[in-house]
Amino acid sequence: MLQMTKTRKKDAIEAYAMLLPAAILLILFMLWPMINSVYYGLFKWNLVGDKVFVGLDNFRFMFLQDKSFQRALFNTVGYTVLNMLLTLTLSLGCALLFEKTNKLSVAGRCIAFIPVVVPITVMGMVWKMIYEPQFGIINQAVSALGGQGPQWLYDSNIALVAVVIFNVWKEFGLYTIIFIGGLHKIPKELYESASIDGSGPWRTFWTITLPMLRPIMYFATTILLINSFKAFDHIWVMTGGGPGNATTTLVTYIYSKVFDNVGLASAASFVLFAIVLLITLIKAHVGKDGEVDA
Amino acid sequence: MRKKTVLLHSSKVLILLLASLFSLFPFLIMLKSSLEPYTSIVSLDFHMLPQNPSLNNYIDVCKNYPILRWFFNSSFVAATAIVINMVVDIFAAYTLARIEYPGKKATNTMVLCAQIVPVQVIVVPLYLMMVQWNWVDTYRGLILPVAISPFIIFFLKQSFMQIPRALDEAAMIDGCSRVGVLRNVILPNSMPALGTSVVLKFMWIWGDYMWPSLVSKSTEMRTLPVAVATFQRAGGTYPWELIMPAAVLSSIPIILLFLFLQKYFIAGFTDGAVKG
Repeated sequence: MLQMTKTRKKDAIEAYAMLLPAAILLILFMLWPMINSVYYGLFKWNLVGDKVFVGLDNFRFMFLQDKSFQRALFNTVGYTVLNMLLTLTLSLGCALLFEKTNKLSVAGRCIAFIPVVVPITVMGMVWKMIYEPQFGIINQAVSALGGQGPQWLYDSNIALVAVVIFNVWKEFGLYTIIFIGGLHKIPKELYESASIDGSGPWRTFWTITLPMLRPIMYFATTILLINSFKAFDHIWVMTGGGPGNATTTLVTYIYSKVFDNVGLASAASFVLFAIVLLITLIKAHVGKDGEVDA
Repeated sequence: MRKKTVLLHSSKVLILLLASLFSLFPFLIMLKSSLEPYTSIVSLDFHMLPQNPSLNNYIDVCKNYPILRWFFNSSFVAATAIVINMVVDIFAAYTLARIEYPGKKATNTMVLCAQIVPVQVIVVPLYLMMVQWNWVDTYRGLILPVAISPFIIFFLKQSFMQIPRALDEAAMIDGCSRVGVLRNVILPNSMPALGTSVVLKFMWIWGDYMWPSLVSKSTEMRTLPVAVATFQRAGGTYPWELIMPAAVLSSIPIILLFLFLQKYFIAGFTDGAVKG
């Protein structure tokens, strides 16, 4: 008995010692800033002057008066919807195409994954050149076909779409890989019995593949949803949120306020956190019902 | 029937080629433009091969900007952050996977919560903290806040838990300490997970923009991706002939790493990331 409590105590001491470095870094650089972010959201503060407590005024101002915040929310939702639609379609299509383990498919997977690994802002700059209205590749191709290309990043009606297209190019390989992982988990027998029953490829897709992909689908959708709400780097580099407020999203709004209105930036951060938390909770809840294995 | 299969196969190959072209085309444009003078980049008659190809742009960009310093910054920040990250995360993951202690549930929840919090939510207070501590424009400011990853702690914990406990116990009977078990049993048996963690973390830090762009003020302290995004001429035009070689230099290392270590990258997203 005494022996056991002794080893227990030793275990506990060792455990705390080994957790200590991680705990320090986590608390200092993640949890403490998180708490601060909630706290600063209640103040009016521009870094140099005094903090003035204003309660929920920042939130009231953002939601009721601030046109650029409302536009940011609207843009973020639009960005998210379009991004999800295009990314999921393209990556599911590519997953079905690259699912086999022959050399060609593996090469295809690999190539689709290359954009995922390179720095997003660097490729954002490259795409900015590709989108150039005069000499950019896309518009040169369009005019070679006798058409007239749009102004892309300089057109407030199209800039957000252009930014989404870039992001789809950058990230679809990731979701392709995730979907292939899901496809490989579907038992082969299901396909065999379906083909014995005389089910064609189209029907097999709708009756077997898609329903069996449900857990992966939930997973990919939530990741994509959260990532879309957090979209920032490429937008900042490609348009800076412009023209006007055309591509201002939640995070570009936060970033542009860091230096002159800490309270407002923190309050907006809290809104983003609330959204991410909500998606995570829904995922945890729905995921439980939808999970087939695991 | 035969004919149909051939047709199906060749159409698959065609779609595959198109998809690959879609992924690779921007890289080809980047490479091509990095080799030709500004006037050719902005010329209105399209050409797939570079006109008057030379390495002049690469020489110019090295002359005009501290490219090597930025390259060093990116590499140094990534390497240091990964080393700290792996040491800290391995110990934490091992503890969570193997040792029973009071308060385990609480620590587990803490890591889980931290995993949900996006960087974008905490950058404002984190930046203010750096200002107060005088950490702006320093390597410690660039490195320490990214030297921990709750995602990797969880990912490693998951992988450690798959190693049979009997191996630990056998080693302990042989007189191994906890750290000894970790070194002799756990780590050798989870090489793929460790490789994946290193590679993912490298990818994230190498390509990071938001944090280094806030915490590096002077030109010398920038990392490559941050620096590349600041290239602009007076009057708002872009020096594409300098941006493109810089872009090549920032993407080549990570592409090479990916080509050599693909299985670790891909395993991270199929096994690890899927399990969340």
